[in-house]
Amino acid sequence: MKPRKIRKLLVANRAEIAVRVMRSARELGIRTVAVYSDADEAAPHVQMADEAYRLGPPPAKESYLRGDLIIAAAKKCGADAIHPGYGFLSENAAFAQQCADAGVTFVGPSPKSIEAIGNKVNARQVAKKAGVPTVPGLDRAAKEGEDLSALAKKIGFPVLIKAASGGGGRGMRVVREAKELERNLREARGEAAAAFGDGSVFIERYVERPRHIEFQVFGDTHGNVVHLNERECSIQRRHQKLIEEAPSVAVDAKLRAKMGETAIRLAKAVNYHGAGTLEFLLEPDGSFYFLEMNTRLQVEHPVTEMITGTDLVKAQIAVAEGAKLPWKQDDLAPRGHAIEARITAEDPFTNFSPQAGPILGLTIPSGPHTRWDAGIREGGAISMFYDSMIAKLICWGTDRAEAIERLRRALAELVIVGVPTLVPFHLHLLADERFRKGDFHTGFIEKEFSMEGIDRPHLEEAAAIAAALEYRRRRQETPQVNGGNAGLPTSSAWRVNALREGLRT
Amino acid sequence: MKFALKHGEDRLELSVEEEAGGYRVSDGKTTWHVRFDDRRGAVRGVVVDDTRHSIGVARKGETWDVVLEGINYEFLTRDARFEKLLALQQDRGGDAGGRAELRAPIPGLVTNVLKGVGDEVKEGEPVLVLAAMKLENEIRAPRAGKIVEVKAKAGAAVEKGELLAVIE
Repeated sequence: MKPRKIRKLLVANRAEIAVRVMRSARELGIRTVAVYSDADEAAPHVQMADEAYRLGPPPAKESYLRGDLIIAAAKKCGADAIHPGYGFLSENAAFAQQCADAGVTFVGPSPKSIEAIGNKVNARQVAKKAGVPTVPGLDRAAKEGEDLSALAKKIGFPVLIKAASGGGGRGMRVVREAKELERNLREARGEAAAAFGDGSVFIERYVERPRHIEFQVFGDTHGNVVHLNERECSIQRRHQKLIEEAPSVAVDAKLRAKMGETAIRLAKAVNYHGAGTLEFLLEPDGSFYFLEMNTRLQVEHPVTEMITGTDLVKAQIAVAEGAKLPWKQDDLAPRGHAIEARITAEDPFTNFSPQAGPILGLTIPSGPHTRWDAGIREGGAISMFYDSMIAKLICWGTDRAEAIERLRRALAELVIVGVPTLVPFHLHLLADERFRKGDFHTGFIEKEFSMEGIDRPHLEEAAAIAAALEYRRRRQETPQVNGGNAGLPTSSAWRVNALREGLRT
Repeated sequence: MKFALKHGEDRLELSVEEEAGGYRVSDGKTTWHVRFDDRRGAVRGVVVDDTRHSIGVARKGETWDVVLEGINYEFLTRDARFEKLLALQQDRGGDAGGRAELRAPIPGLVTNVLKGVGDEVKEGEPVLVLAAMKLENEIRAPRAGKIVEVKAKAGAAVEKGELLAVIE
């Protein structure tokens, strides 16, 4: 299919990433189309779009994963391109192919590139061919019911089980003892099948105390590939990233050039175009192993945008239209430091358990070099059908120390009422001496960091005072209708009457 | 006016009296002078003695959700339903009579029930698997015992706090 100008873009995603993609499209004068499940009918991404189409019931399998319905919506409304965001269908080669077959531009790499490197098993083979080191392990997906105990012993425990498709930590397990292998394999397969529709997994050696360093690459359809430096993503829990930074304190200019060159070599090996990310494990001695490639825009792309002054979504659209890359490698040296905190509805005081619930109140931080990427607003809700992300808060500073202080300042401005969030975790981490020195690895949060000492009693008293005063105010304002009901406004007799009417039914 | 509050295991009784420009609040030991921004939004200014806080406060079902410096506190406040809720919560602790109830910590989908009625379980042993927010969570036995009741069915959606199984 010949590339052409995009005039109308369908965004096949939801929440913050759908909103973020639409912002760039709007700046380019491109008309935007949202799709939604029944759970998202009034969501910000729907309200922001110029047009919106219903896909189906809330479960992703019946809505955001229904490529057929999405392509049908694109055809119906005359969208000439589909942006998949991240997650859902973004790394699905079959969907990219179906878009091409339907004459709709897929804003992303070719189905062939996704096929060649998006799958973790294939990625290892590509890397081997290109002479890029990988972690020892199985070079193909394990068969259903295959006995992996002999291989696991040969690799040496601990081993890591990973879903062959997908990412974000789902279907990933660390196994430390042979007797735990079978149960973990079963559960990883279950998670992978539920999340990606593909239950195949593979195993490899689990490297202790590494950093997770990833490189943003970008290619065009004319054979040019550049890298936009690294992101430091070692602050994670159960393989879910919590804080991302760019650049990394562990990468100097020499290592950056070496890893960047490696990343470009791999991207070129599969004729990659569009935005992509190569994940590496970096050992304390500076040796690195290629892990996998994410053939899409990443959640944490804003930190890269901030240190390079770029708009990656605009560049994706330009490349999809057949244009050459808007930058040369020399334009992309990192400037200053950026840091992102993922604000999710997880309770750091109860083992980070995710919480569905309403957003009853919201004060959004702002100020110099402070970016709030959200797909939810006050009055919305965190649904149990999707992940627990509320927003991303990203700050830039002239150096790492300033970026950290700016993020602390912005987090202190943020108030989210209704669900517990990661905010207290971030505040505690950003004050941690080891974090501030940059002395951490991927196991830091789970093994060496604790939330203890943050639950200060005077705060609880102030919170209790607020609860008591608000309770008192509501009780005093409440007319005693049918035994009384907290929260009825007295300001308008009409409204009280309307509520009385409502209570009779 | 007195208010009883419960946050987790902590209980607090606060007396509130109006005073010039605000309220005098006391827990019997300490007295605070408080100014409270009376707008109806969910995010308010609260001044406790001389310290200003931006506090989020909203009713959430039977509780008040209060947010201060990023930390969410859930308070039960005393009214007719309060005592009943306290009684309910005490039941959940479950040590009385040697019963331990497994309840769903989050809303989700039961994907696998690993134990049946009559099975002996060790403390920490997985009893069932609950999928929520795209993760599979093992629900483990809080203590050793025998499964006497299994309410959870594979494939069923459950609400937060719903009874899944009982161990005696």
